[in-house]
Amino acid sequence: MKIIVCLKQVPARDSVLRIDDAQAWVRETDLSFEINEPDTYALEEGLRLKEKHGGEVVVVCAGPARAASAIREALAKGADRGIHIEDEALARLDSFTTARALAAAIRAESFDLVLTGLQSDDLGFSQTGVILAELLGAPHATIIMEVQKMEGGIKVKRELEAGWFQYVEMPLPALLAIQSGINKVRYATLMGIKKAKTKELKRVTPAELGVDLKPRQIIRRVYAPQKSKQTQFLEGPPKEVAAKLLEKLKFEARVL
Amino acid sequence: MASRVLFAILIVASIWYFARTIYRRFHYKIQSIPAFPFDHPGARFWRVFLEVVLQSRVIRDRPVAGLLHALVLWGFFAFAWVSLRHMALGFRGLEAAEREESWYGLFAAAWAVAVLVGILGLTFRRFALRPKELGPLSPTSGLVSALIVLLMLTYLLGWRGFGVHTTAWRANWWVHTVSFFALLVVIPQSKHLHLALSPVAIFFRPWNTSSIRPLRAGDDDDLGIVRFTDLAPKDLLDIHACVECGRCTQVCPANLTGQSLNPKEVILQMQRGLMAGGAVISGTPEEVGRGTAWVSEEDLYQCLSCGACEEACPVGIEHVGSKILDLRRGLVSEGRTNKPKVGSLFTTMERTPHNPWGVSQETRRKFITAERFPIFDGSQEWLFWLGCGASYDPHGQEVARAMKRIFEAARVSWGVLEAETCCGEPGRRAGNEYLYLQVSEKLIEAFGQKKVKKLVTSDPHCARMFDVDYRQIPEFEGLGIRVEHHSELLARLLPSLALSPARESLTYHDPCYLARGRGITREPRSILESAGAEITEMPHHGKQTFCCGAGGAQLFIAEDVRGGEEKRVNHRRFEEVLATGAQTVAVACPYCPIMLKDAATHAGRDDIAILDIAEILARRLSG
Repeated sequence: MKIIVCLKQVPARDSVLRIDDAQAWVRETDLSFEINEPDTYALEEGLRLKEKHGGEVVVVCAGPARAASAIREALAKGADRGIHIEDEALARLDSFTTARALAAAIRAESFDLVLTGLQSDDLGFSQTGVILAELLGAPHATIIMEVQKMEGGIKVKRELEAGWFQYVEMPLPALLAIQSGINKVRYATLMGIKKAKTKELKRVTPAELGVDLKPRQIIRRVYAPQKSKQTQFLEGPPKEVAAKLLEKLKFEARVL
Repeated sequence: MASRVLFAILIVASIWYFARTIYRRFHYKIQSIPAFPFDHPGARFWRVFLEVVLQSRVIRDRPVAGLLHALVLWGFFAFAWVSLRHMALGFRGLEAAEREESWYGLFAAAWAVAVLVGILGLTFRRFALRPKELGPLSPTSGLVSALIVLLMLTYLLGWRGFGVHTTAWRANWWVHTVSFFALLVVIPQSKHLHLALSPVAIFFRPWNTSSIRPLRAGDDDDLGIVRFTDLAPKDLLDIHACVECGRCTQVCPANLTGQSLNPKEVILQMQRGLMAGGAVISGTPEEVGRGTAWVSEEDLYQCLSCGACEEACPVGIEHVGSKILDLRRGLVSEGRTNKPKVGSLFTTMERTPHNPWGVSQETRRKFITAERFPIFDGSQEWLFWLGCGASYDPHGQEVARAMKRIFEAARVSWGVLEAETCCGEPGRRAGNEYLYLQVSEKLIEAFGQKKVKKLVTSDPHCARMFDVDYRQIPEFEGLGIRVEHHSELLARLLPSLALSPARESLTYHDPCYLARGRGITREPRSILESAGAEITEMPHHGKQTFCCGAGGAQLFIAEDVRGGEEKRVNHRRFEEVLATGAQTVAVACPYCPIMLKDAATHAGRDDIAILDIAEILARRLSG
């Protein structure tokens, strides 16, 4: 089974975020970056499928130069090789254009399965995976909890609302957006790091792939949300509190 | 003439056999580095004198058996000249023998009686009293005892029992000779080899317990200990020096609370694996059962790295640092550990904010801002390293507040880092060298940028990390940073503090990594006494302290239910606290109070106050 895992590198979870001068994104200086957490579950699922069924795990990342560290980490955890579509513009590109860059690189690989995380921790659009499937002409399923290999395809378990699950049988090749938390991700090992040194990490530019990175969607302004809610505690005997509440709902909140 | 030939044959045969056995034990392809440490040679020789010649450790933990053992050993020393003259006579021929008239003959006879008392006492203990820690009965021990008894009896008979040159005297002489050579054959094949190896092992033992070696620079194959071929010469020495006395297991908190870890068996299993030509040392319990591995991962991950076994070992074996923890490192480096909690600890620490709890840096930021801790910028004298305990744990934060009050009262110039990650302690102790190297790299860079020269921390684990583990990294060593535990700095500050001591009866729990891991037991006590405390010691205190249960990353990786009906390590320790009758237990580590608090709640004794030495001192500041 040849499995492609798409990774994104995002600002580390615990970062102190500051809005940049153009007010269009966060300031990247002083930030540390990590693999987008939902993608770590996709990588783990890919590695487990490979361990079970054999094959290869190829990590593909569209990002600026710094994102190479994310690919190396994935190689250390057991991925076989990496493809880095490198361009500084990819740091904040929209889902559609990013998916086009990824598709151009993935098309050259005769893949069986493409795995992505459910969403990114920075933009959170949850779109790149499904657009990528469309561009690759492959069927896709999202919020995947389980992947089983079957004769001529796969059977996946999807998480629905309210505790419901859906089982879907799909042909291969296909794309799956993996639900976060479905597996226990492995830790990086010393041996893995040492082995990763000899693994292939191919760098390609969007131009080499014939992709124009002209964005389809631009973030005009980023701002911190205004505090608009307030909470008041009413204290006293129940009767008084009820009377006060009624007054407030009538005259302050004006909902009655 | 015939007797001289026979004697020569015996001596050559036994020496050849002795050498052959030693060769078989040591001709193992092992790592030639790290080299044996030769620092402070004077102190090392002094240690050998105390522990080998004076038998201090042997007697300390088991006074009766230890003294009996010392009688045998001292007797051996006294007999050295007797044996040499015996050998010489064998070469010269028995005809040359004369009746022994010198004072030395009487001196040796007195020692022969002492050795008989010693060896018969030890034999009685081993074969009649049969203490559990000695393990199953060993026929070899019986044989060695019999040979020693024979040697002493035949000496006494040869000295005054039989007239020189009588047939009985000649027969007696030969029995003595054969016993001597038999001993030479038996010793290297058994645990009795310790009499040759233990002085060397004691000489080279590190100064503090639980020391982990650095991985060999530039050697990509060094992943910690995986195979027997990964062992260092000192490890081989340790493994063959084991005298199987079981002192290590007797003091092991994991073993005492009913868990399967048995430090003596870890060493002996490694010895068995080595002699059987084993390959991989550690594996799953199933692999150990099948004989494809020798030491179980289950046992390794019960270790608290408290160092009690190393402290108790009379022959200088390092069970923890260079065996158990290095075997963990081997398992983790190859990704072979199957313990889910160990994996979770690593994946938590791998990601920001890089601390074992995974608590947001925001918690620490809010804390240091609210408390108005000065930010270290290189202009202050001391960097106060909070560590994860004082950064995130509510009690740890109390300790940091107390430190601030003391710093201010003593007019110490200090500051804290704006942001800290974990120093990597639980990662490295649990075997993840890669994780440790990653966090340390960033920290060392920060220390360099901020021009840190002196670092103080209320966490003995962090202090040990910076002062021992980090020093193995040249980039850190180059910064020349002095590292102290807060007990050391506070003890020095005592004269400059205006104190209003108040009498208070309390007990003090020595943190393992401070007492055994750093050799600090006096300073915390002098701080407490300056605050007016009267210390009632627990049975286990000072370097013989008993772990709280948190060490060796156990705070994060211990299994929820372990040891069945037996008590947990912290519960057992808390019983000692209660037995002192003290209302307060003083601590000097952020993890001990977490464990003791849990035990107090379990015992329904939340009335017992658990306070850090800094909190107790800060309460007695005047004004």
